[in-house]
Parts: sequence; structure tokens; C-alpha cells
Amino acid sequence: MQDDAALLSAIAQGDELAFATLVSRHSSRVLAVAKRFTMNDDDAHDLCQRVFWKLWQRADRWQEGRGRFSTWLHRITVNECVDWSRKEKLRTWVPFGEAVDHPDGRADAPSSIAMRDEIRKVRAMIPTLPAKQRAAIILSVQQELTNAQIADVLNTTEGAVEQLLVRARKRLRSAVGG
Amino acid sequence: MPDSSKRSNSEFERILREAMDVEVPSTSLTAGILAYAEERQAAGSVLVPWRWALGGGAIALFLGAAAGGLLLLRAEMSQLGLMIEIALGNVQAAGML
Repeated sequence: MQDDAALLSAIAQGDELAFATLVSRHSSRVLAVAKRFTMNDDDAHDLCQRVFWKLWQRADRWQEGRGRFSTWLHRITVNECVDWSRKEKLRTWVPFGEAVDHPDGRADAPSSIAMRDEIRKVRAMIPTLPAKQRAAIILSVQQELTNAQIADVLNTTEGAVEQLLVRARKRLRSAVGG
Repeated sequence: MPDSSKRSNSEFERILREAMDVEVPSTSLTAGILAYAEERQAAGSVLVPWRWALGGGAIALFLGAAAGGLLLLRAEMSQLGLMIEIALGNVQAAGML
């Protein structure tokens, strides 16, 4: 199996098969970030398509050894998300379909109605976070990136990331009365 | 019902993780991205000749304007030369008188 670096250099030469392989390998991760950032399926799919289109166009700019591919991909994704949030008016509503959608039978399903209600409230609060806070908390909690990795993606310091995460958590926690 | 204001940190982190969770349909997603990229590529190959045509047109217009300007300048210069010649002729005629 070709690694990401090999796929990228093939993509830079116009290899469409390598592009398809890279897309199938990483698209779910990009979509997951975009979905939580936009809280909107259609916008998330559009963002995801634009991220990979940019990757296709800029594959020759990525240099192995200058950083991890996943960081580069996260950076393109977050930049697209932040651009999107600048263009879009802040949406304060959240479709009900976005509420907790796990089947009750799941082993780690939320244990009580109260908790499910709190998850819904926290979700509804995510789009109200400033773009950088939103990006930081998604990368931290959903993508499980370290603060150093988030700092690399957001092109900032670890201290600044720490601050973004503290503020984001404080605001989201206020949704559940904590 | 438990009091939500007394959620511990670990409970809140669990709520946060659940809130961040999304369902991702992987198969249709890949197909959609590839179709989009193909579309953009096709649009790009149509756009490029148009850009070239526009660029070429702009250059032709510029060169035409420059050539026209030069012709006008040349005409002006020859007219100016004629006027000088007439003026010199007049001076010479006045001197002879």
C-alpha cells in the first residue's frame, strides 16, 4: 500500500488513481471536521469537495519532511472552514436531525434522557463559537490532535491553543449549566 | 432526573465527545468528491482557452492603440515640420524684402 507522500507525488504528476486512493483514505476525516464546523450537511459536503480540489491543485507544493500530511490536510480543511464562516452569516439554529442519532442499543450510548438533552444543547452551542475556538475544539476532541499539532494547523502557539480550548470548553459547558 | 449543573469534568468531556461525533457515509462521499474534481477539471480546460482569448484580445488592443498613437504622432510631427518650414520661408522672404 502506497503511503500518503507517495500518493501526493503521484497526484502532482496528474495521477487520478492516486487521487482517488487519497480521497477514500482521508475524506471521512475531512467531512467529520466540516460537518461539526458548519453543522450543516450540504455545506460540509461542499467544503469537503473544495478541500480535495485544493489538494489536487496544490499537491506539488507539499514537501515530505516539512511536516505530516495529516497536519497539512487539516490546515487546508480548517482554512476552508474559517473562510466559509467569514462568508456565511452565523447560523444560530440547528436542525433537529442533528440531535443525538445513536441507536439506543449501542454499548456506549448516552445513558439518560438528561444526558442526550445536554449533548443536543452542546451541539447547538458549537456554531456560536468564534471560528478559531470552534476549529481548535473540533481538532482536539473529535480528531484527537495534541495541542502542538493544533498549533501547527492553526499556525499559532501552543499557549494560544490552550487559551482557545479553555474558552471554547467554558462556553460549551455553559450550555449544560456547568 | 440528575442535576445537570453538577456534571463532573469527565461527564462533560463525554458529553462533548458525543456532541462532536458525526456519521460519515464514506462511499458516496468519495464518489462525490471525484465527480466534483472531474467537473472542475473539465471547467478548467474550457476556461483556459477563454483566458488565452481574452489575454490575446487585450494585447492586440494595446498594440493597435500604440500603433495608432505612433501614426498620429508622426502625422503631428510632419505637420509641425511643415509649419516650421513655412515659418522659416516667411522669415527668409521677409529678409529678402
